[in-house]
Amino acid sequence: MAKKKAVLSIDGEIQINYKWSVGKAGDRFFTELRDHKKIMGTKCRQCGRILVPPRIFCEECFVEDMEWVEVEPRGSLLTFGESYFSTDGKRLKEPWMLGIVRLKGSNGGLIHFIRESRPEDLKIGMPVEAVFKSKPEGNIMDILYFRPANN
Amino acid sequence: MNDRVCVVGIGVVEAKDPMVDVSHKEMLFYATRHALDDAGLERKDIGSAITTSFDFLEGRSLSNQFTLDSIGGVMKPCDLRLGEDGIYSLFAGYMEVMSDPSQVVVVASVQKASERDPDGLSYQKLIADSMEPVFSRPVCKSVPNLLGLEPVLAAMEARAFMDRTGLSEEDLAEVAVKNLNMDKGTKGSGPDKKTVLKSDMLSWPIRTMTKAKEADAACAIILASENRAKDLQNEPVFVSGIGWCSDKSHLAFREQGVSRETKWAARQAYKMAGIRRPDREIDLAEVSDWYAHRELLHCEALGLCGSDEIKGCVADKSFQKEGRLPVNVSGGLLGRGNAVGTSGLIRVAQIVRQIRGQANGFQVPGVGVGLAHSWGGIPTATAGVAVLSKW
Repeated sequence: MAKKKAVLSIDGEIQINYKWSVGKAGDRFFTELRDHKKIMGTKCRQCGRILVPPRIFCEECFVEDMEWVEVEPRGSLLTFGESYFSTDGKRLKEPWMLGIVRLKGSNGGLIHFIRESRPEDLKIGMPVEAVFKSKPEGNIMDILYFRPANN
Repeated sequence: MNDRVCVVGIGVVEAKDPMVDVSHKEMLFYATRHALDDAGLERKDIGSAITTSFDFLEGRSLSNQFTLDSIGGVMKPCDLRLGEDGIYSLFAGYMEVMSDPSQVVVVASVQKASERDPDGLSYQKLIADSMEPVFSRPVCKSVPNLLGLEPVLAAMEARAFMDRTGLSEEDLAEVAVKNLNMDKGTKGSGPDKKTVLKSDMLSWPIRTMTKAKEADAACAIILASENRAKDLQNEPVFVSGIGWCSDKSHLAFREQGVSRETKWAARQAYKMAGIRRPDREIDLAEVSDWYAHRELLHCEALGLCGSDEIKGCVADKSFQKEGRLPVNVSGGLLGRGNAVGTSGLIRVAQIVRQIRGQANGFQVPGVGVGLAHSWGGIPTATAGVAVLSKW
């Protein structure tokens, strides 16, 4: 088949800047994280679930009937994945890993880096703990990563 | 006939100043919670839920997937419509109720304009990026100052409209004064014509006070069939006609200074509602007054006045609160602020308030039939019309 001749094209990009509010719930969460390295969740007084990340409303009971509770900076690994590709697409010797961590007693999960381990060390359901940045700034990267923890 | 679709609950969260203490997701939750409380319902009663949103306005890809838990939509059939004004969620919700009249449907929309970049350029960039990309966008992106883009595009259509109808800048100022004063609750405490005509000229005849300012708002409306509504606490407000239409995609291909899409959307809605003389049968209208000239342009297209009567309607105050056919007594977008993408659904909520007799300071006595209209804004030619009635 004859190769098709491409018609002309023009380059384009769309660049818009935003400033997203973290909301009432996010405000308290990130303030506590920054000032006290504490992880806070909201507990629904109706169903008893503790939401982390927190919300001012329970998406299941659909009420604003929540109380703030502190959650331990440790939990279990719901699942994980690894990649051996660097930003520029080169093959790495040491992989980087992402996992979903459900903090102890909470409902929900945090997607974060899993470090100080290799994929073969990890198991679904294993205990992990948060490692905090020394000078927190009030965003989710104040948690540097999670690592395997002792039970 | 028991299969008519009714509004059984409304919830609106809005402010002209940026809503800095809540996220857009929290705003939408409050609006939905208000609407459910208004209807006397809970999340378990919701059959399906529908949101509208614009990804680039919100800065979230698949933005409505992100808000469905704010409308009670977790593990419910959610028909997620993208890229249309909130009034389109009413149309989709109407069809949902018709397809299963036993269910209660939530339709909702949220817009947080204050989250876009504070230099004021973002909306202008979005307009440029909404233009047809090959023939129009390169020109629009090359203008010396992007801040002037929307006013110039608005001015082009306003000029064509004024040229055809003989409307003057003073006439447009009258519209702005009407709507800016409605919002003050008591007539006469807001800006007067002189103030409007002295406000900054952006591009003749568009001035800062004849163009609606962006605002943050969320709105949720609960729909049910007439049969289902019998068990609920509110007197139902009937959605007696709906219609929507879009004109040609390329702005330059369209006839300038008219809204053919509004005319056709209205024709569809009127046919459904059995309305033959909208100028006589409609008691009150909330139409898009994104710019002052747009209110009059839409009144004409909706058949609320004849093309040769527009100037006369301004002069004899036909569209004032005490006039023949009050338009935008809520203050409209000029008076209340324009939550782009959500404003159309708020117009519906305003009409529901009027029909229920709950419009407080804005109440017009004896509203039986009301019309809500929405326009997608420059450079779109998309309009939605809903006729709501007490009986």
